[in-house]
Amino acid sequence: MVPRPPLVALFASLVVSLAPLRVVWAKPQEDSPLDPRLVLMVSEFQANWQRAWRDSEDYRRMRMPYNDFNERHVYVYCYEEMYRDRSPSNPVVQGFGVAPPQYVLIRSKRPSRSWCPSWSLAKSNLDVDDESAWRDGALRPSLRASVATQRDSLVVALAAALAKDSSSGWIAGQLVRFRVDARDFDAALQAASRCRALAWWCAGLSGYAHAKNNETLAADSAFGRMRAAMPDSLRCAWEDASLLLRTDQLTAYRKFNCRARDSVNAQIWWLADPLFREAGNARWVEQEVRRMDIALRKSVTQDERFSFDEQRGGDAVAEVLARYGWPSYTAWHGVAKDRNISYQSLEINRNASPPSPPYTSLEYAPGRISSIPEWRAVAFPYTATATDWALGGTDSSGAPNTSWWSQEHFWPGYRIVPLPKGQTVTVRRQSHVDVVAALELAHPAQLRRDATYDVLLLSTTAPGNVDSISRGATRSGGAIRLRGPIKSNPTVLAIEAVEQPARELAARTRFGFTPPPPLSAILENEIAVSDIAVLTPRTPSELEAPTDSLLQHLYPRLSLSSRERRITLYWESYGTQPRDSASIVLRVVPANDPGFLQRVGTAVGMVTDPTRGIEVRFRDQDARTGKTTLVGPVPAQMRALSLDLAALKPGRYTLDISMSLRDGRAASRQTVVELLP
Amino acid sequence: MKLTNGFVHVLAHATWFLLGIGPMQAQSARSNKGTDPKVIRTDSVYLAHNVPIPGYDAETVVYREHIEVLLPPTYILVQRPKPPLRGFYGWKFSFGRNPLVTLVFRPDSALSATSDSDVLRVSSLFLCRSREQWMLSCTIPVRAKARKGSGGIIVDITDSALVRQVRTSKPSVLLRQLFEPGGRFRVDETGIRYPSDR
Repeated sequence: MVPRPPLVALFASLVVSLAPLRVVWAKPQEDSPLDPRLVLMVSEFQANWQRAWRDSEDYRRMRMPYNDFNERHVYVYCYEEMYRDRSPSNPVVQGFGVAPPQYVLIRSKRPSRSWCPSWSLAKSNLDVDDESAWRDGALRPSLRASVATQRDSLVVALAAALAKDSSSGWIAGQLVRFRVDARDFDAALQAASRCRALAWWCAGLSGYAHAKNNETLAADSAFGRMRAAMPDSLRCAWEDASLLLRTDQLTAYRKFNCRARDSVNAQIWWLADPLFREAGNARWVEQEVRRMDIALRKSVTQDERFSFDEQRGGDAVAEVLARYGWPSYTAWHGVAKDRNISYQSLEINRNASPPSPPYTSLEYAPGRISSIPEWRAVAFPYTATATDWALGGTDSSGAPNTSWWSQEHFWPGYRIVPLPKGQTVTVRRQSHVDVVAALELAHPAQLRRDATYDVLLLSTTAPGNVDSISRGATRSGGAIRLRGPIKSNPTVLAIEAVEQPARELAARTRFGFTPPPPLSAILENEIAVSDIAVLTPRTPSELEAPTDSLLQHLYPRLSLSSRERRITLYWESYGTQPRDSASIVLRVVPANDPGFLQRVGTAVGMVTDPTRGIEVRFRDQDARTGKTTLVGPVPAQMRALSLDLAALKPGRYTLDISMSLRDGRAASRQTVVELLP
Repeated sequence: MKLTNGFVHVLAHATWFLLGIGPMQAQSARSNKGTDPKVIRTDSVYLAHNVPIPGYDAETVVYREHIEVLLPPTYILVQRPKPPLRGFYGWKFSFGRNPLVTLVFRPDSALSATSDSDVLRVSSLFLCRSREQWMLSCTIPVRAKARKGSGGIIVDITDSALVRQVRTSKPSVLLRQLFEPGGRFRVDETGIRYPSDR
């Protein structure tokens, strides 16, 4: 679990220390030399795996539609010239085409090695499974058995070696890695438990095995132990999030020194958690898995296909893995193309890194999300807005979106789509505050499926500190209203809906939220007005003696269609007595304030008032509005009023309720509604 | 941009070819002009980066009495890391995709070599039961001689039974694997030529 950040002090203790942007891939190796026989066996297995994969790709390429093969050129060759100059006059563009503009090229510090990750480039590939879930998925099914047999033999040798030397982090690491690749997760966990190397590394191997077995909570816990056992300097390098941040985010991130980054990292991962309702932080766990994957492979110089040493541009492939994780599919264009690229690389730059075939595309299945929020949300989570989390995996029709790309993304195990913010209000009681939230589960991706959703209203103030406020269920397209008590401190409020029982689609929204204090905290002689709740139209009888049960009719949004111009407003006033006979003014005015000149013109009568609004004035005892008194040390007057907005032009309007007493005390509250055409 | 037909595809590659950074055939043609100093420099770049030199990355040749196999040079011995890495150097090669026969050329123990000669001096050729058999467990000796060549190590296999076996089956491709200390390896393949018996 990511440790709780000292929120108050975090951004106040900003320390300007411009550390160089360099990510260190920590190595778990002990000082004792590796057993050359084991290193050779690992290499041999990897070479044989590559041979089987080459055979698989040769088979697929022979049967690949011409356009699929052709379209992949730009990603397999991945020359920097293709991205630096996208003009049609560029001969490289003429030769190979150009990738869509959202994609990035990730280059090594060595100039000749680059990677061009992309979404899947073909609708389907022959005889292949998603290798991000299982490495052997890249092999044709008919070739998997012989590879598995040789891997079993390698595992036996590694297990025997670990029994002799349990202090070897390298042996333990490779044993866990290959048992995971064999999908023998129990055995992988056993191997991790026998590890007597550096404590952090052994804990990391446990986390790796748990995570690969989709045990997010156990993995979260193990990685938490790993993190705690790391020396400060190592943790600083290992947990460095620089690669995951855009330039604007990175500028802010780099202003923190190593110690302060501990807290910033915790803040980032807390807010990047895909669903607060799920135990364990799936996004952070995924990042630790990526770091373990890189460390395990760097320790053998290269894995089945990719070189991880810096001479051959291993820093670039490590960056790809850190930012996007393991690809779903890698297409290879054969021996001849590999040689072309090798020769061309050397021709273009004689001082380049040595070629490192095989050259492949790196293709990711669409539907992934980017869950790290905007930096302003990291810095000030309690004032964050729902749009600070882009997600980005789905287009406006609800289909997986392939026209975006981001600094990082990941696959949480199911699709996650954004929910609208809906309408959220609070009402104050003597010792607590109730929050009421309403929204519609009407994302196009949800409307495509007739499903039931389990919906939770949650509040979180720190990693691992998540309160469940209320729970409900509704079907696709339906509205849900959730109500429950909330602590009166700034928080991140979240509404999360998960499809039941399939759990293939989830929807969420989250935003910073500062509830008011309970009535017990109200000062003597202080008066206040609650949030204004916009309700669906209520009957006159319901308005005669309104109570807060009317909040179950909260509109699930604040954008009203042309058929929704009749509304009911519900609000409460605090600290007033019925005998106070408060004077109340309700105004509905355009939310976009007219400009200064227009206001001057209006004031002197030269310009006709361009706005059309509504103003309703009444006194506390007025029969037009019902009122119910909630008796207590600080009384609350519950009020409701019907309103017809049909005469207003479409646009955004501010609803303002102002209350004043004869002794001069006053309070007001506003909300904004949008009248759609 | 998606190239939608073969004609455009050919045109595009022709452009690439004419730029001089094109297909390897262009490189092969140039490197055969051995007197061109520019080409000599290029070859040294290839060697320095452990890339087969076009034209020198000769096919395996199966003669009547022996088989000449070119094994690629090791990267580490070209780059000469200091101190030298200790570990196993070894080459494994199979005749045919469904291998007719798999051989390994390797030393018996790990070493800290500083030149190809060090590796050559202690390495021998062994026959494997299958392509998947671990190198060090391939222990059936095969008669052969090895020497340094211009593009790597040349192994002359003189085992008459094995030569006869290959000549009879005539596989067309040699699958090669090169292993070096520290986990570095390389997988590639070359053609096999069967010159006439004249």
